[in-house]
Amino acid sequence: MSPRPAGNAAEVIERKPEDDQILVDRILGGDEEAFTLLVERYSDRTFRLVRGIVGDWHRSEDVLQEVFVLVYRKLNTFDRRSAFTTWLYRVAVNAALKARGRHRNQRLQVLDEGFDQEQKASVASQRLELSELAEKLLRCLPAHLRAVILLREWEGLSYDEIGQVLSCSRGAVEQRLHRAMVELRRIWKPLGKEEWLHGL
Amino acid sequence: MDSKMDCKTAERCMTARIDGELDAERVRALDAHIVECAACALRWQEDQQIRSLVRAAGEAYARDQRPVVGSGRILLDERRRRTEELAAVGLLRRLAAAAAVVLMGTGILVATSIDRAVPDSSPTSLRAVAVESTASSMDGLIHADNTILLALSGSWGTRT
Repeated sequence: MSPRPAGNAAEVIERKPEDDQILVDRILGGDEEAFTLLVERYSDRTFRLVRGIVGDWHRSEDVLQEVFVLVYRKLNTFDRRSAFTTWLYRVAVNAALKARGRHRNQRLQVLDEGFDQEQKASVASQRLELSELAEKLLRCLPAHLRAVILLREWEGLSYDEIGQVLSCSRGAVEQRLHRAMVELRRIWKPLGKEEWLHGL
Repeated sequence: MDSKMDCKTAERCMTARIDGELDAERVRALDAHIVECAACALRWQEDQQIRSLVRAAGEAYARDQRPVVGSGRILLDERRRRTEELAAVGLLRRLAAAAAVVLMGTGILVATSIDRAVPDSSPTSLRAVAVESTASSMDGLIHADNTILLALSGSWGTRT
């Protein structure tokens, strides 16, 4: 039942939670260099998660900046009952979902692109890159379901940890992941199955 | 739990099984069901493929160009914000001090004019009232000044 390591093993260097706590203490003590270290340590992972939820690169960069501003300002409210990363992900997911909400119309546009029947038929012949296909697949998911599957698959969080990030129960996490999978299966069948079978 | 699992339960358990979050008993029941049920076996295979695809997207994102996030910019903005807050506090304090001086002056003037207007033989109660009123105005001002400072220090948080 242990959490699986996140997607890119080279990128994710596992650190002891106490390292983060020391860094947090230093920042709270006014050490600005410690904050720079924290940003360097977590900006890539946080950005990947934010981008996974928000979609657009530049908007995700803005959200990332917003996340670290919030981290700096609200660090004194981090109660240390969970790991620092859990708290950071909570801030990041909330900011990303908020940003996503501001651009809901854009999402509808993406959905239209994703579900267009003609496009579905031509996807197989276009031989999309695997990652493009995956990105398209994810974009078709509602943002709150996307967040939960990305926390699991990309960040390697356990169901309990995801529950802490999203402030919901373990059962709710299971439920959301199940709904995400049902939705992904529904989208994936016409969208990418052929690609997969052709060995991309 | 019954070792026999139906398709609906099997479908619900697949996600947790992939994530290693399913208890051993249900893992055994699910695996047994998948062996027997062709439809669920296909769904199981699809779920694993979809998860691999999602992971692939994460890996592709990780290989992409790094984001530009300026911790320096954040710190600079925060320093500017605090300087502005401190300046606002300074201004409020100066205003409060000026108001105190004006009220004190007014009080002294009033007391002096009463002193001149009222003959020495009359009761001194009027003079006492004027002095008391000046003192209470001062107390009020000091209290207001402290309240403002407390509110502002609260908004700064615990960091200096």
